[in-house]
Amino acid sequence: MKVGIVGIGITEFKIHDEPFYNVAYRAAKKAMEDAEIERREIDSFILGGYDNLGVGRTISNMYVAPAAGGYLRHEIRVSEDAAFALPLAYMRVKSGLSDVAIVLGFGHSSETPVELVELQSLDPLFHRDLKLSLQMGYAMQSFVYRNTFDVSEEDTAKVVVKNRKNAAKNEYAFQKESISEEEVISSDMAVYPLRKPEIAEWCDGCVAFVLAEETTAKRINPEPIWVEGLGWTYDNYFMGARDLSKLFATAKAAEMAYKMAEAKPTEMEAAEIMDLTSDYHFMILEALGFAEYGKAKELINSDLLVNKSGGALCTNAYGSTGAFLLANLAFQLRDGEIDKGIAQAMTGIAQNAAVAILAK
Amino acid sequence: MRRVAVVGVGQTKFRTRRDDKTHPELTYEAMNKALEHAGLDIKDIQAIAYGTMDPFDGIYLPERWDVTSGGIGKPFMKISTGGTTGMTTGLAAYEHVASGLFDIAMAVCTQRVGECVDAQPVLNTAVCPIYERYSGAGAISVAAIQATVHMHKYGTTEEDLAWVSVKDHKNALKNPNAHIKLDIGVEEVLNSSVVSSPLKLLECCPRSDGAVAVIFASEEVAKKIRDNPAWVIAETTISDDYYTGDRPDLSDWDTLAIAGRRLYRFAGVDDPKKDIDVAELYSPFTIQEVLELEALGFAKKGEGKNLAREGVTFPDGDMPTNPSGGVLCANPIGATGLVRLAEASLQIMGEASNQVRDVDVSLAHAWGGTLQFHTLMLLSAKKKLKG
Repeated sequence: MKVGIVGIGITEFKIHDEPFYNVAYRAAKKAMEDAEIERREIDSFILGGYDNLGVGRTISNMYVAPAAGGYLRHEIRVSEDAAFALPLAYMRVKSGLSDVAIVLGFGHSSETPVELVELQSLDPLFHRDLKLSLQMGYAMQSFVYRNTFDVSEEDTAKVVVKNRKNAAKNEYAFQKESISEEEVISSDMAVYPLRKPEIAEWCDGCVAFVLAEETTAKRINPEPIWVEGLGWTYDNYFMGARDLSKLFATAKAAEMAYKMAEAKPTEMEAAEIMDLTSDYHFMILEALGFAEYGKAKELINSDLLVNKSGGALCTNAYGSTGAFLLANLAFQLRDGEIDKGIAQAMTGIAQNAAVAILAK
Repeated sequence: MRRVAVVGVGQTKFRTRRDDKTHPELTYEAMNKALEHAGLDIKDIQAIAYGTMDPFDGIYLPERWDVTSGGIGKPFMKISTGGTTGMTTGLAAYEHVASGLFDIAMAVCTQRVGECVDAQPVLNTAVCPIYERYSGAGAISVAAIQATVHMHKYGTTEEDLAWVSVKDHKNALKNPNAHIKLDIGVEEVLNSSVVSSPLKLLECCPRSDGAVAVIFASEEVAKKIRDNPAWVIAETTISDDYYTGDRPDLSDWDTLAIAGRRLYRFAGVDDPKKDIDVAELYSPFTIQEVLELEALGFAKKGEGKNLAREGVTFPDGDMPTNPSGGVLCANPIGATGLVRLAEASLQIMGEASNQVRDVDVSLAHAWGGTLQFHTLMLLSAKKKLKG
């Protein structure tokens, strides 16, 4: 039995000033309208996103569940990025406990200072005194990656230029201003060696998917997008115990997803990846098996369609970035541009990853 | 549908503070105990669902640290849904196995409420900042309103509620993991200080540190692990509206009644009083056990107040509730629901510290939000209740 995506709803990704449950509501409603089903036809509401410090409200599913339509229905929230909620929704449908489920990813970065919030995730014994912000962690990985594999500023600048070009054509993307390689290289240093345009900025937005088991899915939508492979895992918390030049969690999650889908990287026609920095763009592609370690910079002009959405570098809402990427991959499948593709998400200092393989 | 059973349970001791251990060390302790109980090694665990409520512990997203307790490289997923977190984490682990993707999955929940100055202001940040936050709403104040309304409508007395406390505290004396161990009578409860009228100190849960782990396995694997697994018969969760003020009648927990009805229909429970032998209910305040008994069909509306006083809910009564001592005697908030599931499983296995006689079917429950969520799971010594 397969599980298919039969409806997609996505809001604009920007700084939303209105009460955020309105934004969540719009994503869910759009997904239901897209699937041409009513709220009452959905039995399970699987939420994905942060809580408490991360969205400015404790038990965030309290306001998101009703906004998604979960009144008097099954609801649950998976924390970290909403890409982690997709596997749980998949398993609930696959197990027979649900016929039609909705995944709602919510990201409300503007409600809190995410950098300060993430500092609270550092353990009080070893990391907290270091005040290791997300960007500092990103920069450490970039430094190690560039030095290990001889990756230049010019190489990483090309990623920013390409993503921005793609984002300009994406109506839902946040950061759309075009930029040249020279402008990236001459821009202000954020945290060495990362320059400002090489680090994703925060925004807000919600994404919803309607999922259904195979028979029901075909009734709802004659051409569902099938979830063929899923993988998710965590790396070690202690950065000192990790090889910072590689993304273990992404590689491991991809291995699980490829095995489940019985597919190889060469079968993927597109990838939507959570390149929170320009270096991560290369590191993720390598962990997904598209290039040998250190060689992803050679993919920049290849046929592999990477981040047609503009990627996380152009749209990054804390908690729903992965769902944004998944939706954009699904749009490419729906539009007939590709037959099979892969989406990747990660949080923290690339400590974890969720990978999904979608196909027509 | 794939049959799944609980095959291992591990709990730490629940205390005001567990300064002897770090967050991942507490997680590790519970996981190891569950592995030992199931006779498994961490290598045997294929996936982990991890639960906590972030705001209490002095660390945000502790799953990132706690994954070092045995989860690195495994499919590891964090669940957080408020007071129901423990139960929904158990449900997520169950779904890992029920889906067929995994044969053995673990649910583990860790909470250190002792790290925060006061849980109630934290809970107040859950309610709407525009309409309800300035009312000071927290768990205790909302439960106090439930009690007041129930007293007004059904004539429930402070003594009726005190009996629930007496029962839970007597039960906790037999539970080595329980946080609060007091041999008390009705007078002591009634004479304890008022926390939020009409609820008194001995009618309110403590704030606890601790962790709990539960291992789920598929039918084939479960049979190899133990001969007394607790089979999962049915599950359900439900969400109400966001606003506490929108609840139609606080003397009647109607969302729990709806969830219970769904659970019973799926499981084939005709009469919960006859078909269910013991219940581990999420009752951090005495009034809530009364409301839960009524909503779940163990008592008629307005009559739940009589059950503790008449001995019905004591371990040797007709419908024992919270033989572990319940939430009144240990409340590591985001782990508490999974403790209910763990204790309900141990009752099926015949291995509970305060074992009820002849348990075939047990019920585990948790509520969360400001009376917004419920999660239920029904367990049995048999693979299905009927047929």
